[in-house]
Amino acid sequence: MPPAVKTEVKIGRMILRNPVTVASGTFGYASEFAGFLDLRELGAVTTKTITLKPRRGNLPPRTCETPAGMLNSVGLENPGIDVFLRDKLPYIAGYKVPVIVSIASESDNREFIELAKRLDACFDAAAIELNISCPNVRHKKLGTGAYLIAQDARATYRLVKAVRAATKKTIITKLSPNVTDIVSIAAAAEEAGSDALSMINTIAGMSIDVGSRRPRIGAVLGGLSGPAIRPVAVRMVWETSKRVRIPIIGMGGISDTSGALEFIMAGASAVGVGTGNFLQPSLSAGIARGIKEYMREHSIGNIKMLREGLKYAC
Amino acid sequence: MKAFEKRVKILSNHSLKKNYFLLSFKDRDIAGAAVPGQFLMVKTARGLYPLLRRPLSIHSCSGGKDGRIGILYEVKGPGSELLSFCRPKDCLEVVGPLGNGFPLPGHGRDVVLVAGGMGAAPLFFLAERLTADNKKRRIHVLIGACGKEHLCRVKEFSAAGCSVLVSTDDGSRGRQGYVSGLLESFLDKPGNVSVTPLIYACGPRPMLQAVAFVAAKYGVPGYCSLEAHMACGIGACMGCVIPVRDQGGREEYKRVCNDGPVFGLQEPDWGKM
Repeated sequence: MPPAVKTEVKIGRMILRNPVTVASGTFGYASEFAGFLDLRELGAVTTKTITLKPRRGNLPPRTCETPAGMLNSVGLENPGIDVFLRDKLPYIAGYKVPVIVSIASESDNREFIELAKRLDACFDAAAIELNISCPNVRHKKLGTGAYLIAQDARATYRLVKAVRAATKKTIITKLSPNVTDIVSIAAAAEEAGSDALSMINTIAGMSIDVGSRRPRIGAVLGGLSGPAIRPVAVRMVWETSKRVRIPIIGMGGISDTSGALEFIMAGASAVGVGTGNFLQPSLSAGIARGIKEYMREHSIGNIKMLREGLKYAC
Repeated sequence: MKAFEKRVKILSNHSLKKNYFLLSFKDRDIAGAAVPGQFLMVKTARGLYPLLRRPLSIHSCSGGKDGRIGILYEVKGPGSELLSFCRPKDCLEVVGPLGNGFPLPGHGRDVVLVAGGMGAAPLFFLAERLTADNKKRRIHVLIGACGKEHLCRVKEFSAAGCSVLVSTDDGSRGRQGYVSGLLESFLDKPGNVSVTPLIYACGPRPMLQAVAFVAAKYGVPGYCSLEAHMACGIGACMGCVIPVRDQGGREEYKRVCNDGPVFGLQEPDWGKM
């Protein structure tokens, strides 16, 4: 008789039946993937970032392929929260899977607070992910010189604190790798009351078509994702997990089960499949099964044991 | 619309001429669901480079028990090059059929298919379906390419019962000039087509823009199938958008994968592409 394996994890007030979710922006609003996998096989669904008003997004071309990765500069195109709450969220909630709603502001913190209040009143939203780290939208009103909130520990603290006061929902803060010291930003989010961290967002990058001498992304710069960034993401999760006590959802270039396991062994409580969803639409569900299979094979009873089981050379 | 994520076995994969290849595989689910104008996302690498699947339109399709799909492609980058190395019995990972097909013409309405280079790929599947449905119409096919060695599927269109006209930029075969010019002279001759025909076009964007211009000039409606770099192919990433004008003249972005790849000829904002 094989040993019992428990894959449940707790993220804030949410209980996920397994540690696998998806990275915001790579899974649309889930309906796009429903024909390729059973959404109930995921621990949670994370939706594409929404803003208060509909947003048109950036100039095409918006994606290009790079070695073992891709650049994107979609610029948070989305239909706005009204359409989201009316058309998108009820559909996903129908699958009885926790929904993590990613939000961003086109202006200042007040938009985050308003979005959080709207979602606070919404039964179908299990958690709110604060996208303060999208490299493809610029914020000018910070007054700190930084153009992403997630690049400034004080700005991160202020925002998370303000959203914390506006909602009782689980708050997940999504961090940017485009910083000198991601641990200090993570600590600021924790101190301000974030229930969890989601890391990493894409790494700012650029690619040029030498034939036409043009940038291969319409907005010139884009965010790098895919297997190419995985070692960077795993390192950041490892460093951060040793400093903060709140759970981490690790992501960055997961394209198979072992890639997901790396994040958990580095200290993440859960993982997000991102660009991998584009390569194989059913991948996230396959990884959820794969992690369980691995735990069974290695007689690892729960995710905590997996997370704390990294062996160092001595 | 049902799409499948599948590993299929390649039946054949060979060069037609130059860099043009024809690949076929058998899959009853995909062949049973596919309609002309749809495409597949095809994985070309075993490893991580190239990372993304390639969107390739369905060139031919026989449903039923046979369930055979054909893909016509040109080798022009690392992805298509790897695909060209595949041998019969090799496995191929495909997702599809994806996107929206061509709206089909009504009974007895003539159609003009306008192909630029590889644009013949999805139009051949359309011609197959239109000749099979027996609805008393003439199917005219205008094929253009830069030179005669780049013309694809001329004989096959004829064999399928279409009347074919050809143009080449260098004049090495057929009328000299662009296929949009060929379309103009074709529409100019009364008696060529009944009442108002429908145009179906596929090819490079400048060619499609020129076709849209000619179609508007003659008041002929029609559709085009667009190509785009795609990451997901299923409408999730918002990466493959093009600017379009809605009926009120307002500009918006639409995804080539999920809102297209078939658009009305006048729908894309050609000047901004």
